[in-house]
Amino acid sequence: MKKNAYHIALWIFLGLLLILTLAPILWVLISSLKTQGEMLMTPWAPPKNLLWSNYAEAWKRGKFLTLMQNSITVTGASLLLMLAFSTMAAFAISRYQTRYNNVMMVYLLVGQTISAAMIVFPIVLVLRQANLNDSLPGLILTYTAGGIPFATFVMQGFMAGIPHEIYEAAEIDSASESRLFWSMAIPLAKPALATVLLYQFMWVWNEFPLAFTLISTTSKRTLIVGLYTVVNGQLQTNYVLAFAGATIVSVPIIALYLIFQKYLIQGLVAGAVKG
Amino acid sequence: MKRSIRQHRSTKWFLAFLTPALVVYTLFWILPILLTGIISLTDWKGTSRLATASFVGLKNFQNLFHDSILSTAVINNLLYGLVMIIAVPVMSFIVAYTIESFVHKKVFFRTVAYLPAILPGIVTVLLWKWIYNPSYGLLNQFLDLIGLDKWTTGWITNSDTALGAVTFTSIWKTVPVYFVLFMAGLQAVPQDLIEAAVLDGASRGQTILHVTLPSIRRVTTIVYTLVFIDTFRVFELVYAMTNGGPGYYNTEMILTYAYKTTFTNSNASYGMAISMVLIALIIVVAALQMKLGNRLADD
Repeated sequence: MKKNAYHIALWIFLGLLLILTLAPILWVLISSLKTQGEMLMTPWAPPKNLLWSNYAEAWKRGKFLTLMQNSITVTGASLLLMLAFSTMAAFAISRYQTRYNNVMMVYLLVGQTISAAMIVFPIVLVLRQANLNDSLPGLILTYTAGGIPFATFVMQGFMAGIPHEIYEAAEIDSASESRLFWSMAIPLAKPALATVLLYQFMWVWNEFPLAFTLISTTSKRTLIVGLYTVVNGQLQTNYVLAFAGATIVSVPIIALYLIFQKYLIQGLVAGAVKG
Repeated sequence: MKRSIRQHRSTKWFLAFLTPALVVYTLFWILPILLTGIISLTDWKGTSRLATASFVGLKNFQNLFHDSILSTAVINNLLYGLVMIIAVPVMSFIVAYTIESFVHKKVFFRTVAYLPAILPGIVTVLLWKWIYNPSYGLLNQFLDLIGLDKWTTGWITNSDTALGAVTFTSIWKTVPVYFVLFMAGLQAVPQDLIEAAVLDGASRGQTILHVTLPSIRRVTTIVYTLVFIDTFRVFELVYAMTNGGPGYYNTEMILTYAYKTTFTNSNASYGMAISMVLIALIIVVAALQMKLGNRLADD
């Protein structure tokens, strides 16, 4: 009896949670397929006809092809560099005992906690000195740098749990250090790599202050900045197209999330949480 | 003898594997932090050449105390932070615990409940600006529907409700981020401890209070620290949703004000002084958390 009441309460709570989470997101999806009039007058009704043409028009007017190309380039290159460098750094910190290990962790922590918007102005100055201002490579290097601490912490936490005997067995076979890294550490750390990939992809793909400030040329903008600009400009009063644009921007990241969602927790349990 | 050679080799490899990360991170992340500190000690506006600037010591920091817009931003930021720190960890734990109690549909609920965290911040803003819209917004339509039409308002254009509306959106987006951390913590709680408590006749509330919460206090400390730090990192939500308005800086936050001071008002050195205070505060809090966290782990 008491158990039943508890279960009913649980269901009601979870139901409310689902509505509060999903209703706004579904509303964007549904509205993006309506006419403007339908959206304003009957916001709760399903669309009379599915207006897929909203997507074609938003795609054209927002110049989403260029934006999509830029975002894919920036996200792909940043993640590649970030994952490569962080995995190497995590391997170094977890395998070798030197007197610099703790210094290194503290040094990384300093950059982990601050946020990009606090230092974006001096980043502009550094990129200008390096002739990388207003360029995709400049943005890519900045994301790589900013993502290194979190990526290294998670990878290091995971690698620290790899038993030493595994490496020692390979050492007896006189495998070189780089062999140990490639053929033992990386394959073993795959779950942590997937976790880092998911979290950092989310960060870079969705990131606003850096992409907004470091890039001034329209044709070099990322999707997020392009969306922000177009919904505050051309499409300011065209809500259905704005929602179609928002959906275009969100679909890739949601797809990646659905594929990788089991790593959302898996890598964290070993790394950040148990620490 | 052999041991010392091996030690040397270790340091060499340690540095070899570390160098790429170290170089990029130092140049593009740490150097800007140092520059923030240096520029904050000058009178540089950011428009001329840096060489033309001169050192003015702590003058920018002294001016912080006579800036009425900054005090408004600090008060807004603290109010926002207070609500976040009260609401977010508790709600995140409740969501995590509820989902974790559902053995069958756990993955489904977790996946859906995390969606707001996945959504780009700019999309979240666009969505909630529409929910808060005075004439066609979902919130007002809903209030009409349940007969509370006298409550309807332009939620982010009315200066009385704007800060609350921004904060609510932030809670919507932040709780998903942290319930996942709590779930990770809950999954690490030894099941036999809970079973032992239940066998001893402990109620559900007692089990949570005396078994679950003590076992996850490491995660709890991390969540409280991160929510606290996040409070001072809040940026795009406000920048894109209200741009600090409506009216007299009703939703201005410390970081949005620092950004505008630097880029819009072309007063780089003063903007850097504000940023520097935030950076220092955050680093101190993170360091304290690390110390505290290590102490908890030693228990």
